[in-house]
Amino acid sequence: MRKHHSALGGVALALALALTGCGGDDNEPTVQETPSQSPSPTTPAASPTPKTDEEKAAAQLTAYLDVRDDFYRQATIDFKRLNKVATGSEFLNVQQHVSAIERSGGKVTGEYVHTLGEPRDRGAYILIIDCEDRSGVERTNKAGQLVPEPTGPDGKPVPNPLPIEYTLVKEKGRWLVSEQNGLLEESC
Amino acid sequence: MLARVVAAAIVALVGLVVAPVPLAAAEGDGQCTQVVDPITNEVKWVCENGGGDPGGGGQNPGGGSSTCTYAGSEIPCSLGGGQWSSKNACYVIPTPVSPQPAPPPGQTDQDGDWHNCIQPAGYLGSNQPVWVEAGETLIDPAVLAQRAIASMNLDPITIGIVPEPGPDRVGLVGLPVWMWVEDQAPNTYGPITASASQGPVSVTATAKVSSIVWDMGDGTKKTCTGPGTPYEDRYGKQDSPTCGHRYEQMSDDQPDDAYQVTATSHWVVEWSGGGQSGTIEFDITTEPLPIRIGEAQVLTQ
Repeated sequence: MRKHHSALGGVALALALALTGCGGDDNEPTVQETPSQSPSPTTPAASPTPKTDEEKAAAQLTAYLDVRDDFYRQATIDFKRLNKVATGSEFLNVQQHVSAIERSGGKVTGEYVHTLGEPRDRGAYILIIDCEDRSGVERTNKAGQLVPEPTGPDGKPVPNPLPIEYTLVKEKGRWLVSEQNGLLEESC
Repeated sequence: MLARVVAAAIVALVGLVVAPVPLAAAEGDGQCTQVVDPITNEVKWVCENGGGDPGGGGQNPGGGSSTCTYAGSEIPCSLGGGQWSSKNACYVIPTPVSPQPAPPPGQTDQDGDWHNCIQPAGYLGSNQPVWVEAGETLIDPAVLAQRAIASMNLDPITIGIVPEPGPDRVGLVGLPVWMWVEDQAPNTYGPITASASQGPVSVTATAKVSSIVWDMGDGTKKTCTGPGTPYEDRYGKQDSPTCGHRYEQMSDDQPDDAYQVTATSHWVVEWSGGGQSGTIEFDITTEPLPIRIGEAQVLTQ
């Protein structure tokens, strides 16, 4: 199990730096399928460079969640970052989510804690379950009031933490998050 | 995988944004995705079944599917209330942005509004709203296709069958039963074409029955791909060359001593317009028709 806080910095950024071998100009944690340059001597050694598809997919999901959570907090989309980590319906999902936040006039603050399960390679795609803990997240409406907890189709609050299964597909040699599926009946 | 993208129903919730568009088969049943209320900022999870029934299978047309393309790939034509705009190469959200930025050069506030867009995967531009001119209708052509279908006033077929229904009519076990479409008409069997339009968008739809499932009431369902052949006395005890059946048991153990026969027409509607095309499929079923079946030895006693 891998756990990280989603705000820039900390474990996630360290992992991203280790994966890309450099800081980059816009903090883009991205995993390349092709070998990248060697990590600089100052890069933390705690996060080994992913080698297998499962490891690369997990690193990309971590990167995606960092990007997504940044977008939620900033209520804006940086397509340069999003393109490197998402595709398909998830590319659209995050835009819709951010668009709704922006249109509502509300805010998302704080940090999600993501704990990734073991990747499951299904050949054409890889599945990874993220145990998402939103305890540290505050979501407010236009008036600054806290909004109710997320609800399921039955109108009842969904569990926290909540397991969310992500599908990653390989496009042009890079693993990208393509869809999500909330496992509302399961627990972390 | 691509077929699933197109077939996936896009749940259009009023006031909500939604994007359950699976690209790869997830394990287990159903797909649950987050939606955010653009008014309250509340998060809800919406689930849809993995299997689904794109054809609807009922008396009313289902949503069907429509086809939009971008960069050579099929994509859903509507998304979370937004409609795909070939002109802007994005899903335009109908609600104008607020506050409105200044109109583009040469335009005034009266000429249109700025709208947010949901960009397709691969988009590398900036997150800027698009200008939609006044009168430029943001309507899903699939919705117009549904209106065109509604204007067709489609009806179930009139059942043609021998032995005929009626209190003094009895067919015999083992003898041929002929089924056909009686009084075939465009609105009961097709083809029938109709159009619907709104603003500059016009859609033309052509509907026809692709097959009829005859439920004979004895547990047998016979699928006939044509309208069947009307029976004439000169055919005697011949089997129907196109659509027939033989009962193996009397109907005296059935309610009202009769088998309840229904015919379900499977309609296929091809439509195009508004830069899109698609197919909508649905079924229309007749009221049950009682057919009594006896045995010769019983009838002669």
